[in-house]
Amino acid sequence: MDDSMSGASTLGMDSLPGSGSDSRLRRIVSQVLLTGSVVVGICLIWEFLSWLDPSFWPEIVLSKPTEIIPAFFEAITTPFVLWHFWVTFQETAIGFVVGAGGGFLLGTYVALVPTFRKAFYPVIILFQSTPRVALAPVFIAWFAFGITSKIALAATICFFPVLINTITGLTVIDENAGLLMKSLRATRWQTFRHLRLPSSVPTVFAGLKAALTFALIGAIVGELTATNEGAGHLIETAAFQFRSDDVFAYLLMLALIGLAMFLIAARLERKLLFWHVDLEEVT
Amino acid sequence: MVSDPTDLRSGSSRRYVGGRSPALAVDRITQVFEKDGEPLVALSDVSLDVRQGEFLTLVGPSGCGKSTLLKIIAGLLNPTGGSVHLGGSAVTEPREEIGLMFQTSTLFPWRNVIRNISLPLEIMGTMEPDGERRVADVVELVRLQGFEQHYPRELSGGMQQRVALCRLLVSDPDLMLLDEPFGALDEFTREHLNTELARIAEHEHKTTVFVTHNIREAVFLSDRVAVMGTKPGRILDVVEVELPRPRVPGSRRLEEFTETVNYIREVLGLF
Repeated sequence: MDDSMSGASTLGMDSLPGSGSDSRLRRIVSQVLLTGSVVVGICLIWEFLSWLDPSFWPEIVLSKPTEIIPAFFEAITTPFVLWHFWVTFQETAIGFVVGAGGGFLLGTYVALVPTFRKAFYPVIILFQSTPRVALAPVFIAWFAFGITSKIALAATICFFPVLINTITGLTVIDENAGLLMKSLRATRWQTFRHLRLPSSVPTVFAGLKAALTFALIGAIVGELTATNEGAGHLIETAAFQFRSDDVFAYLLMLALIGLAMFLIAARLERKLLFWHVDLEEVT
Repeated sequence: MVSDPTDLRSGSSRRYVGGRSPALAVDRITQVFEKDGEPLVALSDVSLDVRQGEFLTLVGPSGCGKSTLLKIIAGLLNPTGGSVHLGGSAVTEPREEIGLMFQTSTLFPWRNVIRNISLPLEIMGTMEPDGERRVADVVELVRLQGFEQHYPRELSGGMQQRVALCRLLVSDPDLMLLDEPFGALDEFTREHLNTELARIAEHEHKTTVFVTHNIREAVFLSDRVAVMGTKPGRILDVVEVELPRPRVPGSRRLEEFTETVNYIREVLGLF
């Protein structure tokens, strides 16, 4: 049996996932239909329950979907609401860039200097195990009510998953690949550039995706703690005033922002990680 | 068929192009590891000479230290005692003229076939002036034409090992060390790649040390087979393979092939 032939047969294009725009379109349509029916189903049950027993589901605490959806469309066309969400988005974005960037840089340094790794790792784990949202009041005291304290909180929360995943991704490498680089007399920089960095991308990306959600959580928790601007502030005010439809409309907006960020990250990941085998299952 | 392991000049083969001095001299290597506080002798007093252009295989059961010996020869592991000399100078660290290949292809999945093959040239900084031509040459030698732009995950295990072989050959090493390169492949692919490797080895005339636990593979490929035993890891016998070259699939039908395989099985106590 000719091995080159058996090699060629595993290369049949139909066996490669994601080939052909036709099957791709069909996959997207079926995904949308499936998820859509779940969402519609939940809304219908929700609506039915609130219609069945209105006293048990008071409007001021938990609105019906038929009230939330108009409130949502009103919210996304109100400049004042959009401005508050813009503030939250800025806090999230800046916090993410600062936190994730810092986590990656320090992680790289810690991973590449063994002494540093030994010294830092226990401290990192200690901080990692601390619920960092509890730092919100501290940051408000340090950076005052403005946008800075929220950025600081968002950055702190998304710093750690990126830091830890960077350290893991850069240190855990295939043993034989390491031996190969050694046998080629690769310098430390060459091993980093050609082996450690590319093989860390899947792990680092997992950390970045977690950090993205964490940054949004950090910004919102900061706003809930003390502020007069941002989506967290809007939600808190609406809840105090028993405007439950607005609360849920704002939550829906936040969910959509979170989803959009996740999809952008997933898209970028697909581009960077085209070579990664497990990817089809992830996205 | 059987040669005295201490006699470097025993046996005769047409393909030794060098003089009488060994290309690779392994001298009284001992390797002791610590295991649960107890010393574990992985290799005990192992001596071996490999001639210029010779294909020598280390065969033995798992735990006989053959992979450890290969790492020591590669300069990746410093032995507890003894020395390794290549071309007259002691090997104490990895060297550019020694090439390695493993049981796993160890290809970088983010690089396509061509860029995987050219990795050693990039690392050694010898891509210029004729790196591209050399990559094309080995691709042709190993018969990988048409797969240059593919990524490892699109290739079968056998094809991946062909790419790894190209990567080994591209830097034109003086000594090739192969650690069970076909151990993870199915029998059909393994036999086919054995034939291919025999053809390439005869074409390239490179000093080669090959590690396997497959006796038939060892006999088919080698000029000599060093049979190793366990506890402690040591060389039991060095067997001269009198099979004519070129080695072709039909070589396995020859009487000498079966006899040598049986002799090695006897040395290993398998009969």
